[in-house]
Amino acid sequence: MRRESRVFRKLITSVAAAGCMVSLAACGNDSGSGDTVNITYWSPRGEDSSLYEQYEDNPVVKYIEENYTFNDKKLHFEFYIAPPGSEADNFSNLLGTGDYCDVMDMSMASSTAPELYEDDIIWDLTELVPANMPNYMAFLEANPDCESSIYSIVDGEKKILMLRGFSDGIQPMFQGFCYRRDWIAKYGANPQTGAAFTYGFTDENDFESWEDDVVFPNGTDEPLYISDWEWMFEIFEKAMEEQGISDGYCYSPYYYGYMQTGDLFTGFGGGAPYWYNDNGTCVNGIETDSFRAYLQCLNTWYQKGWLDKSFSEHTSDVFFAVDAPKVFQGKVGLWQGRISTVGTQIDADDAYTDGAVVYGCRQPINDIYGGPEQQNKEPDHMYQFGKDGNGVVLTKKMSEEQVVTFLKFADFMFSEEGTLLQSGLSKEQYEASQDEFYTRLGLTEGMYTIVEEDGREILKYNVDTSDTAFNAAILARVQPVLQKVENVDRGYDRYMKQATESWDYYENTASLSYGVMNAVNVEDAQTITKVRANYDQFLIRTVPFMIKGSGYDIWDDASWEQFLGDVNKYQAGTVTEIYQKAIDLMEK
Amino acid sequence: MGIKRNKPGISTKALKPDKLSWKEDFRKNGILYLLFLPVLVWEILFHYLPLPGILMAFQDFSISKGLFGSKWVGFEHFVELFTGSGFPLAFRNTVAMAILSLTIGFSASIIFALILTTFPHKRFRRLAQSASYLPNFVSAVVMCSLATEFLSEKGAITMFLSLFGADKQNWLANPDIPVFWLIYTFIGIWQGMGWGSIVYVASISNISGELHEAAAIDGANRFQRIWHVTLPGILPLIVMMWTMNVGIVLKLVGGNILLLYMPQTYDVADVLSTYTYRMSFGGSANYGLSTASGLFQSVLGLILLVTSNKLSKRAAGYSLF
Repeated sequence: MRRESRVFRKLITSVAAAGCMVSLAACGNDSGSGDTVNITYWSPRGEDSSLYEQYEDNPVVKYIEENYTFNDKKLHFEFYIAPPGSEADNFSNLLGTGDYCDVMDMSMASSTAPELYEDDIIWDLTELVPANMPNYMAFLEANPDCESSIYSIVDGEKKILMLRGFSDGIQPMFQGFCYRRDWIAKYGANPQTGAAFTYGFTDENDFESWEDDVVFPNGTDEPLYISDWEWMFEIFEKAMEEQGISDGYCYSPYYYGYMQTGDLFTGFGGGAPYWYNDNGTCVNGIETDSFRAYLQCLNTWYQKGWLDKSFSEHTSDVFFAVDAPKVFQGKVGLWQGRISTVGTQIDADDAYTDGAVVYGCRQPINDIYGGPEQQNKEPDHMYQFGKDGNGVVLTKKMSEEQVVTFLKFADFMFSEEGTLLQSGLSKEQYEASQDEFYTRLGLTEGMYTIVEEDGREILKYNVDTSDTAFNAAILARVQPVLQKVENVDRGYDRYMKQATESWDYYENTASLSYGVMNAVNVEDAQTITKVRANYDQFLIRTVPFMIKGSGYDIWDDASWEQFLGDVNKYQAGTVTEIYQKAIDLMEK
Repeated sequence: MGIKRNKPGISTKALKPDKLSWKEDFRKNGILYLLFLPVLVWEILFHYLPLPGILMAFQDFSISKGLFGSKWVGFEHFVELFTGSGFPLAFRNTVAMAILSLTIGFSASIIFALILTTFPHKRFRRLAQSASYLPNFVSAVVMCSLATEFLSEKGAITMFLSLFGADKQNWLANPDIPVFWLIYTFIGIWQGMGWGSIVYVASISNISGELHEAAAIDGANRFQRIWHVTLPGILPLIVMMWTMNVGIVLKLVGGNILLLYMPQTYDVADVLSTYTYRMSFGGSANYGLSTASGLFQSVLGLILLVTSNKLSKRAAGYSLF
């Protein structure tokens, strides 16, 4: 009896120890055996856990694992998803502890691919990609604008260190500026005639039947200029006053006071902080008069009570969902929001949202603040999709066999069949797999139907593509894939179509491309990190206060000069020079 | 580690037990050594084995090249740390919050223990004791979320303060000195006061009741008994706890701050640990810089520990070593 108890205790101890070992390990390193190759994959994003608990349950992943072989091997993925909000930290921690996965998504990486290569963490794929990925290379050949983004420059030599995904066209934006059209219609008046607007739903049962005769000061039915925005803000004030909304506001800028992607600031002829100007040279936008004009505008809005007084406190909000709860409470006039806020979607039948109709609008053009150089400039630097998608690196934890198998898989995702599969399971594929997730969601007809319109084959999704379940049903978190966006009917309603057309109206041509980023050598990348660590801290500490009217006085020339002098102390110009060097290198 | 009584004229030699050989000692106190074993292993694993990692403070550390293959950069990381734009303010805030923790924060546990032990109703005393321990078991994230809610523009504490004429504002976003420092200190008290009082309550219960009885017969009121009997009775413990706290306080300041601060309050809320965290891991991970900062704080903590130990030896006649 005593012996049995001792054995039992030993067994328990061993199991506990093994449990500890397993829990301490991050990405395991079982390369697989026999006919299966195991791949561990780190992604910064997973899906909503209410849809499925782990990404291994993604229907497309399961379908690929069950039905395809690559390099005569079956693939088996194990996914490690970063905790939300700590993606970059998680990436750093995995690298720091050596517990990184076979494949690491680089979209939230705290190191560049050349840095990882110099640290001997990742594979050099320069020869392996052309040898194993004919579809990928064919895509790049057909799309020379994408080619530069796959290369990194190490010691002056072009190398493929990262596998980047692409789209076959420009994907419509999922976010942008949105405003309460119903408030304008209800509380505003025609700026030319002073007559009240007519508005309403022509069919009470059809949410898409909203009609109005709203005209903005620019003479069109869209707000295009800063003056249009200010006209709207006056109306929003009136709307909030008449509805008794005491804690509402017209607009809440991102908590930095500006956006590092350039949005809104771009309408003042600038970009923040680093961008190409009209001459194709790299500029630090913070040092320009455009930034001063932008700050003067926001300071004016703040003084007039149009801005959210607490804008700098929303530090955990992403830039396209600032103070989202208040937006959904119907207490905000204009915001940078997701497609899920346009149309009648925020109407919750309560006091402030009943009858709400939201339209998307373009980046506004400054026509009031600063001088001629800062006015009437078309926006060209903003957060917008290009054909480039996220990239992954293959770590040295992978054997050559694993690398080749993964490359073959990635190449398949650039074939016609793979591209369609990325868009979800077809009816036939669903019927063959009887996927539990699709069954639960009622996707028995598959994710899409191919229809013919105007002599073209159109992929028409069978689901609401703005729903979170959409991403869960396709292969949205694995790269590299070729995402199909051309000839796709996303099932958008008229408000969504109007919003995405507005958000995509101007083209982002001034952001520094992936190619430029990749051309920065390791030493320079470290310099950028060091300079920006201090410089960004300085900006984040000062810019919100400048908007609120404390700290540097943006209306006073001497104070502005002092601000520029302090900016110089942080050697921000060094970063400009490094990027310029990279641009020149890419153009060679 | 015991407390040394160092009063001139009193010899402690006669009180010392006969010295045993280590074998005899081990035979006699084997169980105690066994109990100590996990602590010893833990100390070695987590406090001594990582010591070579200090080298990273002087290296351009690279994971692949390892500790002994990375490039030596001397004091470069220290220069980067001390010349960083936010360092002076972070250092000032660390010192300010450390002083508040060592004064208001430290004395709160003692005062609470004194109140508890002098309170006559046993049942209420136990209830108060248990309730005061609870925050110690609640996650810091939850505690800070609650504090954020209470101190928001429409929070309970803000509403309460507004009754006395204070502005209705988000107190955590207030960049004025010493608002954030006090908030941080009081959250620390809320979290740790009950738990920290346990050791004092235990020590107070060990004070002989006869001393209290004698003082009462001599006409001492409750406050006088606390002042002349209880406090001197726990003074060695207070000195030990204070000295140990001084040594680690710089490293302790920071835990909750990461959950409470925002760019708007960096000037008053940023401390060495949060500043280092942002500088080291804001972009590419800079292990050298974070190690340099950790080493700097450790050295400073050691100096403070030795100094406070000497000061307490001189002032109160007690010292830790």
